[in-house]
Amino acid sequence: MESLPKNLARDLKNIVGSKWVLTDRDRLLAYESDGLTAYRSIPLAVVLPESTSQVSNVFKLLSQNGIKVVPRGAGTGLSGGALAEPTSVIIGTSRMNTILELDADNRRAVVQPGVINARLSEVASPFGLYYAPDPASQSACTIGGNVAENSGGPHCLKYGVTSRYVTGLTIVTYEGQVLQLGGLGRERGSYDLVGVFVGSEGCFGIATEVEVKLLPKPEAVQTLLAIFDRIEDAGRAVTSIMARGLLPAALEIVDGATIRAVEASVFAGGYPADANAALVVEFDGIEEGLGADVQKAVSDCNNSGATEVRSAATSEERQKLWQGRKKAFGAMGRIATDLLVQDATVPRSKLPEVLLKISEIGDRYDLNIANVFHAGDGNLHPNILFDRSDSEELEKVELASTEIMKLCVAAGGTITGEHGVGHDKKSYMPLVYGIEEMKAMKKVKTVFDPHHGMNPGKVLPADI
Amino acid sequence: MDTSLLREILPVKGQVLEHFGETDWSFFSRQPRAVLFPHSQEEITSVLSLANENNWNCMPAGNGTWLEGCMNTDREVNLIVSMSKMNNILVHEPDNLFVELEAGVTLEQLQVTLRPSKQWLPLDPPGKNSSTMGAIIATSSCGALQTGFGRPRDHVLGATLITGDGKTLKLGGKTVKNVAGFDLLKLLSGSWGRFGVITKLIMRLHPLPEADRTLLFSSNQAHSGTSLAHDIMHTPATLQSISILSPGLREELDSENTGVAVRILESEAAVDQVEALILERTDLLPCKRLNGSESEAFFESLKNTDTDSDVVIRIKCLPSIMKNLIHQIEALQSLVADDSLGGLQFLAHYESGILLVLIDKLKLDDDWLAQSAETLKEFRDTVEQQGGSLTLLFAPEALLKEVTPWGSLDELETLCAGLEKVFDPNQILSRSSAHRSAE
Repeated sequence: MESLPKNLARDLKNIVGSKWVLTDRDRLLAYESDGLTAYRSIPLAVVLPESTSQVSNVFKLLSQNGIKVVPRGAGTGLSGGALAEPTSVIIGTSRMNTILELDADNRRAVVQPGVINARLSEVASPFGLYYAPDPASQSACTIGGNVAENSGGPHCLKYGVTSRYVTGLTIVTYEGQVLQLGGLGRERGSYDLVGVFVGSEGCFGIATEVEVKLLPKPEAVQTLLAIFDRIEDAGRAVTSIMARGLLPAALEIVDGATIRAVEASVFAGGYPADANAALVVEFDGIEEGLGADVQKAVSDCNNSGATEVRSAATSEERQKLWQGRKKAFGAMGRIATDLLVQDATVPRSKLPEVLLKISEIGDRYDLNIANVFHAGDGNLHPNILFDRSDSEELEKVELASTEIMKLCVAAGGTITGEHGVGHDKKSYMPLVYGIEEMKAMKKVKTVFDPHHGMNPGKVLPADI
Repeated sequence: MDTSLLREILPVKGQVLEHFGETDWSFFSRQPRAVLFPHSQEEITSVLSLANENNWNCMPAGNGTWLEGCMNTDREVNLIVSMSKMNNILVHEPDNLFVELEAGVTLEQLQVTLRPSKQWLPLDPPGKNSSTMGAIIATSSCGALQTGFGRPRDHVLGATLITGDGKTLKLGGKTVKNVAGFDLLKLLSGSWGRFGVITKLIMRLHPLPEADRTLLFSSNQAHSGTSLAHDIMHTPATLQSISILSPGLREELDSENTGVAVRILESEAAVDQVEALILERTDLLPCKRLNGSESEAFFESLKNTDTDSDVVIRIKCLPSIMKNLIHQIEALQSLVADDSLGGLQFLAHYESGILLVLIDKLKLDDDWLAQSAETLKEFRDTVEQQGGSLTLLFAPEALLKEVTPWGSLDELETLCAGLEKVFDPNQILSRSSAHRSAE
């Protein structure tokens, strides 16, 4: 195992405090992977700064010594984006967890990158406001991580993804330069630097302060749960609902395998255990407008073959209807030791045919594939269940994943809707982009990071 | 410049225009050497390759309705590449709420096509609807609707760009969620054509709202325009537009007092409830109600508010400092000609923090240029000291040259220049219309 030179460790400790430079193997083990555990690597060290100036000084020191840097939030990412080579140092944002400003008057907040997503909405709640992007991991993931990944979530169907809500950034480049990008209250005549930085997966620099837009909390919410015998029928219901001009806040599908896993777990939400698909439909907005929308959605579900449609009358009932969706990943642990949460998008009208073909791929490779996904925006999450210690099965997982990616791209979609490319999907990039597009991406990275010291080996294939 | 080379690439009659009247494709009383009207991406690639070889400065354009926009006045433009002949709507998938189109399609053409499917693109850039989609995205032009629906960049799912050095880049895709690779697509919106010619766009669509209602309020002693807008913004509902209008700007409003126009786009069942919530916030202040086509027409007319102004200034600020700034624009009164009928007016989109200041007619006395430039620079300082920014959107060429469209970019200069070189290494596009105050 590589080790950090002693003088460098000393200088880093002088900047952030000796407690916040981790070099012991035991402590580094916690950083050997992110949420995608199929890839593991122990970093050279982990540094945990608490301010922009500390990050800047740490970066200056590391770049002067030619040591590459991997930013990391809560480590909940699912594409290996926070995976660090043994020669790289992880910069963790866990100590940068302060909400610096909550400006209810202008519906904005300025936060440090380590602030947990759900906490921002909790703090904004007394002002009647919330932060709209809600990734499934929102109780653990950080705003900085969301910026890096341009995260989505169930309610992004109506409200859009992270990039719509990030209005300004303070970033630190690999060389330690501090830059202010954008800002809700000003237009500086520059290009959309905030827009291109969001979703750059830690490859351009690290965001140390994030200005976000907050929304007024909706006056009312109504949630439906429709049960189907066939997942294709649930997909058709989604198309019908959207085609008639309704815009639900969320449209989520859970398949039969997932339902049975959840119902057999402590998270049981009372879904029929013999169902082959469940569709969660949620509307929010002005109370008077919701009833008519809900009735139309019920009618679409029934016309598409729903065997049962339930609605939630209370907040508790609403939580219960969501249970099967929100606890799906946790419940999967009952079925297999390892889980690969895939992520791809297709135009939503293609959902029924793509779901059938994913099922065929699972059968062909003799793999269990459970589907839990954001159906409204065609964002699929085929979850492949496997045992990492079985090398033959691991190979089948790789092959099945590749087929699923090709299938989604051929249907007019793409290789990732919200998890990012990271380390995991670099090899799939040529499925969606030509050489020129990828070269342009690399050149844009070089503008922000001329020495290529930020998050090496991510997003672009090595030969670009 | 040998334009015969261009005719080899663009052989169809009318594709290369060299003899045109001053009003057609001139800007700042100057004329390009030629205006080109390609019909295909291949033709554009060939033109840009030729321009690179010959070091010709090019400017992408749509229908040429705003050629002076944020120009670097020191630069000559040899060629204008107009997208107006590439105006086909290629694919509309109502079920998937997207449309793919050539960049020369106008916003009006698009909305007419979408209407039978009860869909629309909720964008309302200033000016006439004859603006092309490519130009709207390249200039990031938007109006009152940005409050509820976001900026142009929020509606673009995908695009094809021919870069300054003639490479074709297909960016983004057809789905709303797409995080494959770095988001270069975002760079196109507001790039003013400096990265290349946008040839195709894939746009996200929205269902047409069932009900369209505008409430018009007049301020009084108890409720100033900004305090009304502030109270309305904090209504617990999503509102699509909250605009503040200077007295007399629109005839539908009281000519003596500042007006506030609020647009509600909702279902039939919800629109009354939203109105009730707004009225609760405004202490039941009387208002005029416009429904359906009247509501749409009112906001359509707001888009053309600045058409005849000599100077248009765009200020971006936090809503909370807008009140101060509206008072402070009085400092610009000295620039207004004595015989001006329109005088000094403003239109603000409150929640978006956009304040447009309109000078109907500039005072053109002996020392007008120096005085106007000094006043505008001082005012820009005033805005920046409060955390905002000032862009000079329209002005006489000499004034634009003195004041510059934007303020200084400071430390972002290097990043912006670096990005220009990625897409346009020989600077045939970025030379002709500087984004920045200094090169």
